[in-house]
Amino acid sequence: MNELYYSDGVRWLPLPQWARFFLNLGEALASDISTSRRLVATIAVPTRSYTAALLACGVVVQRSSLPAATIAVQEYFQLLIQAEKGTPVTVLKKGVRHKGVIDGYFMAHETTWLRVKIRGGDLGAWACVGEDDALNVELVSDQQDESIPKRITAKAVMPLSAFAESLIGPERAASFGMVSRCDCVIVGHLTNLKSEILETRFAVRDQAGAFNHGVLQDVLRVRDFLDLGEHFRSVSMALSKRSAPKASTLTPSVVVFDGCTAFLRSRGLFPSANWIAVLDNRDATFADAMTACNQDYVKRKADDIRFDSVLDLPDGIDLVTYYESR
Amino acid sequence: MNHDLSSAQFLRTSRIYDCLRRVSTTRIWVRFPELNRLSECFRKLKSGLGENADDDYWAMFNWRIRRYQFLLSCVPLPPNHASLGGSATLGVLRDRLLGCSQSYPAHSDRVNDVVTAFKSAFQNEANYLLQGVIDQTIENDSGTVLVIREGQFVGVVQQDILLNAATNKMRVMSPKQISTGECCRNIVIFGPRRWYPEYMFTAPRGENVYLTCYDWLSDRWSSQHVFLRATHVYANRGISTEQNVLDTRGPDKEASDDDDIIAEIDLSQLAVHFAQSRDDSSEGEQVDAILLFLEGDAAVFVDASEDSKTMTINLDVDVSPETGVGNRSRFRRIPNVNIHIGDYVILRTKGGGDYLRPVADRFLGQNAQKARACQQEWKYRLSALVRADGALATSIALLDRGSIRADENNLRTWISNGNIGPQDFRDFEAIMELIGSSEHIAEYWSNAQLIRSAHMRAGMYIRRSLLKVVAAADLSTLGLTGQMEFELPGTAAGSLTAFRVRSVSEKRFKIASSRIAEPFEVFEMLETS
Repeated sequence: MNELYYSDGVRWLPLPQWARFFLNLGEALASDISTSRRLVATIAVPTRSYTAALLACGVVVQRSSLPAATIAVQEYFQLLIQAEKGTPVTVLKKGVRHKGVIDGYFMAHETTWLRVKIRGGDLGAWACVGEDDALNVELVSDQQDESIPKRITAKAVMPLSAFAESLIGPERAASFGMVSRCDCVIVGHLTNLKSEILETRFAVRDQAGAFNHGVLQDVLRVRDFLDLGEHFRSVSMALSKRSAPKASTLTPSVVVFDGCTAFLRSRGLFPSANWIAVLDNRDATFADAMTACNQDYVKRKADDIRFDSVLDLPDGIDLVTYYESR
Repeated sequence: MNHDLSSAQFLRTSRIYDCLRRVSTTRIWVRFPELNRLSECFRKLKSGLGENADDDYWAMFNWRIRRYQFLLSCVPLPPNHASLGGSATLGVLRDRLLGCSQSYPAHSDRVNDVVTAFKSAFQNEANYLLQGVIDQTIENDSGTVLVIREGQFVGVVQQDILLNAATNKMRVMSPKQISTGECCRNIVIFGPRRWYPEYMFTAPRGENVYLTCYDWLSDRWSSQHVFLRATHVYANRGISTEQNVLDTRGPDKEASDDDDIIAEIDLSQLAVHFAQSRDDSSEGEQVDAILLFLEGDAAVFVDASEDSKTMTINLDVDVSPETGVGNRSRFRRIPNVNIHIGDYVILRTKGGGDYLRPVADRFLGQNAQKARACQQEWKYRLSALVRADGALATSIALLDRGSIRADENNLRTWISNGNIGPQDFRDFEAIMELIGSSEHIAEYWSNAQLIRSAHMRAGMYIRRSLLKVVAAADLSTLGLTGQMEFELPGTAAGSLTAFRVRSVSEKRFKIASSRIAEPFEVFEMLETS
């Protein structure tokens, strides 16, 4: 990632060490995601400000190097077979989209098949979907507007800003703004996140030495802060939400919990995603969150992991990273 | 380039990390021989009393001395300052000394020693803690902040340091306030670190931290909330404020860490005592309650049932000073079981515990008396059944009659005066059938709906009134002192006070429902017991 700059009100300055650390950590964590095990990272910080936003930014930049299908087919199929029975879905078969519900999975010829019930009643009918066709199954969103507009409408897709292109890399830029994918969910107070993601200006230098400025949203592309229909790469979730976002494109690879309350309240909603928990040590529930982290570690840890690129923690930060078996 | 608000926020965050990188820690050991002598005498007395030290006779005696020593160790005020209550304490001690010769003659000499030592410390006019700070020649400007653990003394200390030319430009803050504000150049902390929230030392908000402590007190410290790891995978140097190597003093000094001699009283140990004092069993109805200890030596029992809520105020919400946007989200009613240390709860401090009821009664108008009596009638009959047959048998009987939520907890909640009644008609129908009032079911149900509607209107009305009052109020007082009173004119709600929660009892207590949400003074409770 190109070096980022921030404004002190007078001039652009290179990002301070603490902020670079969070960006790099997000990248490092996202680079080690696999389908066979789940990554958990917990960070105790002196202030939650900008931590989740910068971590998520690192995750999205790192994940942008992966083509959409590579991620979707492997991870998404895992998520489908782990979904509860009765989860509403649609299945694309021979060009026709059928409504149905997930009805578990089975093994045949050493292959795992997802079973989708597409007709109820005594004469039920099922569609069996293999991993290669996983993207033909779409989870039905709890907020999805299923109505079809009466007139065909279209909206021009805006090109990526020079700021975002510089961070993502020109070779990835073409697909980045054209394909929706949920690389990251950020759970926390939306007012705080909005201010950090939409309003704080950063910059990158082009080859001529000029500064191209932008905001973290240019890279994060948080769906909830975009206009309807624009392509997104991450999703925000308010603390008050009691259910995880649905739909195939909203299945997160990484969930960043912004604060102790977010972690304690919402971690049960994302049991199969990779977790990054940001714990502000001033939070009233810090002790509870630490206890929960330690209990998870004892119960579930499969392997400790040390990221070599995470060398020197800024003062006041504590970090634990480990894997769990899926 | 515009230096916009969010750039300022990023710069503030940067300063926090800069501060952590540069923080240095200085020890200030302070001598106060008279207070040391009092601690020694008190230790000898406690040791001599043995198990008798927990007797009611000594409870107030112990409480007073420990509290006085504690305050003198973490509040930079002279020992004879009126706000420390030394004079009243001396009176209590003398009273106990008189009674002691008859009740506990074997301990008279030790009690006499304590009273003499107390008098000697109390009559001292020197402010040793503040003098220790002055001797360090710390800058006397707004960049120096004295941190006062006890929010109620923040204003008092600020007044007191104004009188001294060497400290009159310093600021005084509570731990919570300093943790949410800008980083300072110097912060001064009084008393052992174990008395403060951990974030004061794991993430200090000052470049130079002065740990000020009497030279006979131990200040060994370690973080209680750490990741469970045999060895840290990642290097973390640790902050100098977290280290104990600074805990060095002269060879003649023996550090004491007897927190039962000089420490903040562990109020949870007294919780049972308060519960018994508040338990007026003659009033019949009892509910499960959580005890909250509040800023300003106050406490309150709140209903522990899952659907019981208390209004809270959140000082961390950003409110636009021009538009007031954000003010609305300051107030939230949160379940009592979710109240944590540091939350600000709003309680009625004049006119009884429940402030919704009188306002709701105003909305009910002339129907109020009849509606309340009607509600009381079925609750009384259901309560009588529970007393006669037991909660379990009654809840089974209700389930047999079609109730869907009649477990024992819900049953107690429905009987409680603080609850209007079941919200599902099937539960209500079962109750009516069980108490033999099926013929009145329509009347009783519509009555309950009428009261519920009035309570909802009252809640919204009080919230709106609070928003108006708070929009015009300077909430910095609440952050500073941990309590603030709001008058709601014309609402019949009387006066409401926002209190910072200092601790929450883990245990549940059975308390008369009339005592719920009624704040009381801890001192008063102890002295009258």
